Amino acid sequence: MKHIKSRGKAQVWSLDFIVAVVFFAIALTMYFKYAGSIFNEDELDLEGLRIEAASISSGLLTPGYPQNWNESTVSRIGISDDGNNINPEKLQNFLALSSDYERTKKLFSVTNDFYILLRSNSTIIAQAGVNKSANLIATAEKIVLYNSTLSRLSVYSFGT
Amino acid sequence: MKMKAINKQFSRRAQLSVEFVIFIAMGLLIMVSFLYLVNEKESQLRDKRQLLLLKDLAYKIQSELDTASIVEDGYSRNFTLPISLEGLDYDVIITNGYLAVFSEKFDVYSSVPLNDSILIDPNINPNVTIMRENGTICLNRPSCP
Repeated sequence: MKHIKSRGKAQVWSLDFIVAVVFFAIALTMYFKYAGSIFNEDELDLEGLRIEAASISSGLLTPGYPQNWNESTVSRIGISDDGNNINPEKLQNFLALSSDYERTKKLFSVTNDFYILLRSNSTIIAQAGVNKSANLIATAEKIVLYNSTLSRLSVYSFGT
Repeated sequence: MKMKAINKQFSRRAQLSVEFVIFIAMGLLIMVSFLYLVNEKESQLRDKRQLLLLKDLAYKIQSELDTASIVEDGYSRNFTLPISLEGLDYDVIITNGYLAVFSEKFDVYSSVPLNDSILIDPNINPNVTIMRENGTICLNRPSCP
């Protein structure tokens, strides 16, 4: 009789149940681990970073606003007068402004960290922002003229 | 002896029934929790997607205005905004050098090289005309002031 009783209990709280719970827990864990990739969460994040990098890059290659902006009057940062020619004076203004990183971020209207690098061959002409490592990084690159020299303007936008 | 056996049988049946109900209840509870979490995750991703669509639109308008800021006077360009962003209604406001694209849930801001003030409701008029005259950029006007 005792034997029958213990078998009756084991039928409900038995191996079946434990196995089912374990399988379910594994399925749940896997779902949340890979849900991001199922819904392309990384792709969405990367697209957001691409937009921010492109926005900074295209903004920099404008005269900015107002046209002759300085640190106190600037509402849109731009360091070029005609789209590709870097204006050295505006570049200096921008570098001075970029020491206030949070304000620069606000002026660029971005939420992610950025790093801007202007270089000619391997010589760094100017850099601004925060250079760091991240899982997701988007880059926008433009070829520009700085003092009549072909240079490369790179804007990096970092994910969290 | 017979009575005792019947009692035991009833007792075991009742126990099995309660355990079965508990088991089903737990199963349902786990399933409901799972569905809730899945729904939360999907809602979070939907929000992220909507925010991205607004950001993308703000960037496109910003690029149009950036282009207008580096060209010569006499520049004019028309473009049409989408009526909605994958079903998401939005409005665009430009004022004091800032562009805001906002929907019911999110707002996206960016700076633009423009001092004009304008509200664009794509449901009313999705067409936008950018003009540049006398070094000034203006939107949806017969001529720049």
